[in-house]
Amino acid sequence: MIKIFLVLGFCFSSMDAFSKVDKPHFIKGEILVKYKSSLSAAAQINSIEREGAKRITKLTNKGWNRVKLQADKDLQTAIDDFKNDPNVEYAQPNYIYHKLSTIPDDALFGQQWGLKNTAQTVTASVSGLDQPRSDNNPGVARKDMGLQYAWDKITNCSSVIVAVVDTGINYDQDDLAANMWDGGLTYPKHGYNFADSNNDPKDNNGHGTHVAGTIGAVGNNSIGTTGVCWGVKLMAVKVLDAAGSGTTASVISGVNFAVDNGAKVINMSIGGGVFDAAYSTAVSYAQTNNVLVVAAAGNESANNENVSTPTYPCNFTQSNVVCVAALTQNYSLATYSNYGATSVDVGAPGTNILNTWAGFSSKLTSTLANGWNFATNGAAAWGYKSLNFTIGGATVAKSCLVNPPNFNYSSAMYANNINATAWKSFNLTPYNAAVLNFSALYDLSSNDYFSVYAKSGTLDPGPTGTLMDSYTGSSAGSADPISVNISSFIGGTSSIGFNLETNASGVDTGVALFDFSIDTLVFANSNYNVISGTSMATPHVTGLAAMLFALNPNYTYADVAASIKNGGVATASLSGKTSTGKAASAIGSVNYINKPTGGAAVKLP
Amino acid sequence: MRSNMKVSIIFFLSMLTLVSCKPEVLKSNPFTFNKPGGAPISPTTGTAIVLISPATTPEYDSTPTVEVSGVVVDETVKIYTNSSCTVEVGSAVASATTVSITTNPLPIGSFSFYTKSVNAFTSSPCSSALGAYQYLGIPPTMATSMTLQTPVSSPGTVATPTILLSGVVSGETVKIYTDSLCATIYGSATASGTTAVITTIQLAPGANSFYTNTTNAAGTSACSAALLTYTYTGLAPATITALTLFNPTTTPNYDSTPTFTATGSSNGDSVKIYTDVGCTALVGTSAAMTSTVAVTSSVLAVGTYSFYSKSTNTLGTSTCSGVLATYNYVGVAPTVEVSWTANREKAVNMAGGGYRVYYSRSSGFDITTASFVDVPYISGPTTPVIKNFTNLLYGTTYFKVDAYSSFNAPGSTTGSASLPSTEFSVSLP
Repeated sequence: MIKIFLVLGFCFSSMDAFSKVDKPHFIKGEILVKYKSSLSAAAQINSIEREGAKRITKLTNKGWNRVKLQADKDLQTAIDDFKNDPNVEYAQPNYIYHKLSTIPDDALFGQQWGLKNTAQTVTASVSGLDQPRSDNNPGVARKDMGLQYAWDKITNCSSVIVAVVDTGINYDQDDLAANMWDGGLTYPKHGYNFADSNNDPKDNNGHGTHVAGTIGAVGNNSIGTTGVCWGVKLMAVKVLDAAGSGTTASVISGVNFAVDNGAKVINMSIGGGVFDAAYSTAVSYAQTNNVLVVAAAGNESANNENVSTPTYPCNFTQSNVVCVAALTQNYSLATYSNYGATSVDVGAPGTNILNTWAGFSSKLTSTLANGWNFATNGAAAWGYKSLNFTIGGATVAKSCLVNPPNFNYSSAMYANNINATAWKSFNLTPYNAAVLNFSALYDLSSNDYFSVYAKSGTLDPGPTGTLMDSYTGSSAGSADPISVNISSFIGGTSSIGFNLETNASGVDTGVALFDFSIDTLVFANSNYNVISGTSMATPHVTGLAAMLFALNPNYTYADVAASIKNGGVATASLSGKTSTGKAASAIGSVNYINKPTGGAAVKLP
Repeated sequence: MRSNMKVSIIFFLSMLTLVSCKPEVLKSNPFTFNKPGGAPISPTTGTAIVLISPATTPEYDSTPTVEVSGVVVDETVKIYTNSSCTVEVGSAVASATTVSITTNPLPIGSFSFYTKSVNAFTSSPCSSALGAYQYLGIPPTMATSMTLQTPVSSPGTVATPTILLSGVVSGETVKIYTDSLCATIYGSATASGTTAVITTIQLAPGANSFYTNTTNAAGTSACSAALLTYTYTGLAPATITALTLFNPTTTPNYDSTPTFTATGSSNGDSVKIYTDVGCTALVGTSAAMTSTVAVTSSVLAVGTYSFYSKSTNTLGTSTCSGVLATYNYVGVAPTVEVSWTANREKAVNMAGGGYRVYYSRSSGFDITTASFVDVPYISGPTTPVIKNFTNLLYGTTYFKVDAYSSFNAPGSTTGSASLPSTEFSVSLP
């Protein structure tokens, strides 16, 4: 750690300082007095007491005394009085000194623009999969959270527990292990896994580990990254599976777990688009227990104020929810970030955020133009076809696996009474997690189903395998991106199959699948990834909230929320897009003081 | 080279001799040769120049006389005002080793004097600056007499008499004083013709002797002797027409020594306030310089008072006024406890932190201009949240509280502070 000290005493070398209205930078009611070295200790005390003062302590420097003045005694008058004593060599205020700037020595700190923006270019991940975005990379120096100044005030957030309600945390990660919450014998893995209902919340996706690193990666340990609040205690609350999906049940269980086990802040880099009463109840439970919920605004470029595009928990109205939009490296609102003039509170760095990752991520791909096995109970059903899709305004040809083979989303119809599977086997031996990804355009008659199956081995997973997911109805003319957690089939070769099962009641245009891949993860403890999203902006604010709780142990969630909102920096791109128009600022919030309340004046009898 | 040059000079002198074609003159001239066949004696440059008349500088004499010493009899001694001795300002033939020279008229300014001497053949070198003189120009002309114009005689009741001064020079500035050192100006005017008319500033009652001096571009004359005496009788004391509470501004109140503003006073009057109808119970006195004067009462006992006034000066005492003001002293101000809810910021509750309590008699007051009292952190877990006031006035006082810390914004040394609290108040009694 590099610490630069500023000697504020220079500012007060003249006693003119006392005539200023500025807040004091010396201890009020207290001065330092230096007596001639020939004067005995007893005589020094006598001299002090003659002035109506008391010696607090004798300093190690010979002749120096720290002196407490009479209540309401003017400091300058007292100094003048002491100086009139011929035995006094010096009398002066007891100045208050501050460090100027604290910079951690973490190896990758220079890439963490959100913490200290030097207009650096964010480059590739370290053993991570993802690549930085190019928009506003590099950005503008000093567009950051101002943490180097806040760290002058506090770096040790160990008194605060932060729950990462997410995909879990790789609690063995080199930059996180020391900061993991101690759950004792009951929760030896530092949290709980509500996605799988077990005691091991280890992150098999990466998202939660990244969030955790932004909040509280061990700071100033010379390796990797640093978190916003260095020593915070990270509670791993896994509510999403490897594919990043979870349920109301798991999410509210996770929130309640966090509250019941002492978390002061809950990071919710997750969201949903519909009002969920149970979820709202959990947020209220957190509020009742003085727990702040910091939530992501969402990544759909949408206005959360629009009744058709809300994002929860941001759109919940409980005052313990602080909602965060994402900023790029020049503090423009990220193009993907949701916003909302009342539902979104502040912005924070969210694009090209480098931090801890759960391990080595890779992607298995397979063409959908050939090489798949087809098994049909009935007429031939699956085939290959190139279809054009409009993506980002451009027409893009995609190789598709289709049923019927002449799929045209118009006149061609699939066959009645078939049970047709297209499958392929993949070697998933080396992985700790695997997630199947593909896009699906479908229109199915009622009681006809398009399903995903998996099965160990190389044979048709069809109806004898494990049903992973199933769809009916229509994708409404657009291809839906679908992710399916197939981590239970790792450790060997497994078959992945798409099954179209129809009855005799009717037919429709069928199914078109494209962009097939399997995201894989191998646990490792020294990996870092660069990713973007409001999910990444949120933990910046969560870390700040933890810092504020740690700095001000008596703070309520309302105090922390007020400090975050009022201590931010006005940012043009957030004006009208958030309730404050501000970007979160660590130094601004640390310095922020709520205005006193409860003022009263009464005449004493 | 040097040898050749010497030869040439000698040759040149020989040529002069030939050209003159008057060898007999050579015989009669008083110069001698230092040796047969050698060069004539060179004239001797004066070694000192001393001012003779005037003896000091600067002065108003444009043709000062100087004495040049260290010269040789019969040599013509000249004085110059430039270092190359080209601007000659006077000369004389020395009849002794010193010679007096009166300069030609000098322009206004400062001069250094240089000298050199000449004989029939040549000149001595130009000296360095041996003397200096500053010619100030024409001296200011001091007035020779003063005459009262308004009033025309003394004593009089006019506090600002008008005086005619004679014997001055047009355009010069004439000033009058009441002290013999001409230190305190009582009036001035620019002379027109040979006179100047000056109306003095306000005089104090009594006899005043007037002195004068005159100033022009050359300087200021000496201070004259007293040229006029005028006795200003003063005015009869004026009875105050109004007494207004100044501090405190309202009654009843807790101040046992209220201060009033008295209106209608005259300069020199001693304004007195009383609490009885006959103006016998004197409670305050103040000397008036203008038409208003502040008068502070001596300590009052608890009660309601009516205030009267009369004034005195050297001419006497005015009549006692009617009731000009009332004031109700209700006793010592009560203690007011101001409290607020403790801030939860650690920085407020640690060294360098605290609260500032602002107070004002006006609702909606601006804290940047209001009175305040600081309540700093002392020790323990929290900063005090109570402050007692014993100096509040009767009526309503408004308060606001802000909290501060020693935490600075980057680049700042002023510490941070909260917004002020919602305003609250207390009404006394």
